[in-house]
Amino acid sequence: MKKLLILLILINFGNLYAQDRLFTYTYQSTVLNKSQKEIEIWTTLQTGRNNFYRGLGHRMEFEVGLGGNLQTSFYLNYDYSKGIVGNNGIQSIENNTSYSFSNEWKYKLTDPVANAFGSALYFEYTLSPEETELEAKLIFDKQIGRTVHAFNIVGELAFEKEFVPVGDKIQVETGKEKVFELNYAFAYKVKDDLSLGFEVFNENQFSKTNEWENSVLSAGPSLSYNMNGYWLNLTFMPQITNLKGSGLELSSHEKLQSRLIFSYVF
Amino acid sequence: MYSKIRIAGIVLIVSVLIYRCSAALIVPTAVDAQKTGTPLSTLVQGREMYIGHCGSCHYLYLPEKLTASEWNREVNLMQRKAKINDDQKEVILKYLTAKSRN
Repeated sequence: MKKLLILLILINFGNLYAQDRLFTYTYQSTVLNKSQKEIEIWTTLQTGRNNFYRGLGHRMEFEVGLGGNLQTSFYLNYDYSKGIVGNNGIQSIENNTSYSFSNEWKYKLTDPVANAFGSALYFEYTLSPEETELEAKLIFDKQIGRTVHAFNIVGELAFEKEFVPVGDKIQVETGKEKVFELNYAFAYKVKDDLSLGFEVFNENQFSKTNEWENSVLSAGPSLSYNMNGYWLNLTFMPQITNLKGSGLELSSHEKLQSRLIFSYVF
Repeated sequence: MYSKIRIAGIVLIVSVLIYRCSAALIVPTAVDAQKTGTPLSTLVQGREMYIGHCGSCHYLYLPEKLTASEWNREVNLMQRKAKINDDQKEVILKYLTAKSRN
């Protein structure tokens, strides 16, 4: 029993290596080893639009390493929000709830220490009763001394079902939405288990007719802390400006986003 | 005059960035093989396995960060998580300790 206890302590405690997922919005190139598993619980808070708005999004992710630098993940997503919306000068309260499933594939191409920079390819699809979403990322990162830099180029394509009443029937139409994102993140390793930094997030939305609607820039501080197989990352991301307009874009984006990811590594 | 200074400044900044972004993980040489009495091919294989098994999950620590005994301890602790057998562990350790801190 005593030997078993010592073995468990040796396995789980005090080793030099901490996990290196340091950000919440920006991805890094690392993947899990073959058959290594991880559970992540995501919570994203979005608050503050033209009128009252608050939304919460949760993701439960199960990640598994497949070997050969390949990793896959399965997500169960649950989002809900409440907000005041205006329609022809009349305000009403809008509640939204959605459930969806996502599957992610990530393939590491180069290593951020052994090569000039780290890189990975990422693909994710999301399915819900009303929407199909495809997302692809190019991931780059680099560790220089105690600092880590990460940069992502992201493209998203969403097909949303619209239900239009026509006489006594309901016609189903498919709307298409395109999003292009650029993410940059920086972290400084204060200690092996604590990193502080910031993330910058630029989201560009395009209409059905490919018109560039907005380019929202958000940025804020991030923190990463890990302890014996558990880790948590937290980012506060206030909206800085709309690069396509003047001031903030508050009709479809929020003044503040904040994301917490809590994880357990098997 | 100012444009030349600006160009020189840009060249300097780009050079520093390229230098800082270069691969930091030392590639073993014949001198290391001779010094440690380990075949060069084993050291090269150890480096590749270190990148493949350890670098997938976390950023790699440079061999010169730890002493040989510290590397022994760390690799033993990580063996289960890295899913490596004893033979693979020994090859990785040969590379890491060949370039470890004295």
